[in-house]
Amino acid sequence: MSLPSTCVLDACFIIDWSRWRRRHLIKEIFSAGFMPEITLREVITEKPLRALRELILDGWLTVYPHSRELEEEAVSLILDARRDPRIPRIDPPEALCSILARRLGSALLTENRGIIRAYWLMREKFSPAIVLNSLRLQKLGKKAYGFNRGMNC
Amino acid sequence: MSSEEWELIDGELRELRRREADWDYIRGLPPKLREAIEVYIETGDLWISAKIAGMTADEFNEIRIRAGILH
Repeated sequence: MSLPSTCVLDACFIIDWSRWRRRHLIKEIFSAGFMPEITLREVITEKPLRALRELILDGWLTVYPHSRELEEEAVSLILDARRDPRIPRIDPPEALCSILARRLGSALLTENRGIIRAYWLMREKFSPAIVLNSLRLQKLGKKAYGFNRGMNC
Repeated sequence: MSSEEWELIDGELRELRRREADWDYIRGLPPKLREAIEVYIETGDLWISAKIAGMTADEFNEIRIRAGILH
C-alpha cells in the first residue's frame, strides 16, 4: 500500500500517538502534517501539547484555518453518514479532518470509529484520502521503515 | 459486513466498556461528569461525551482513563 506524502491529524489520534516513545517517526512516514484549527482546540493536556509543539517547531505541522466551505462539506459528510445505521455518529471535528484530508489527498490519522467505519462503507466519500488509525500506521511503518521496537510508551 | 454484524461488534465493545469501568470512581464524580462518562460507555464517542462534560476531548480522555475505560 503506498501512502500519501502528507497527513491530517485528528485530536483523538494525537492524544493516543503522543504516548508512544517513538512518535517522532511520523515525520519519516509523511513529509508534512495538517491539523484543522478546531481540532487543535481539543488538545490541552501536557503530553499531546508537547507532541504538537515539537511537530510545529520542526515546521512539519501546519494548523489549517477554519472556513465556511470546509464546515459545509463536513456537515454534508455527517448527514451522509447518518443515513447509514451501521456508521456510528461522526462528530464535527472528525468530519472537518476528513474533508481536509480529501482536499489534500492526504492520509487521515484518526481513532474515531465513525470515520473508520464510514471509510470502510463509503470509501468514495473520502477518496483520494485514506484513513488510518495508530495501530495501522505502526504496521505500515514497520513494513516500510522497519520500525516497531520501542513504539510503546 | 451486515448491520447485524456491526451491531454485534458495537454491542461487544459497549459491554467491554461497562465491565472494565471503575464504577466506584464513576459514582464519585460530579453529576455532569458522571452523565458524560455514562454516555461514553454507551456510545464510545469521545467528542460528544467531552462536550456533555463541558471539556475538550483531551481533558475528557484523562477522565476516561482514570475511570478504567480503555475501549
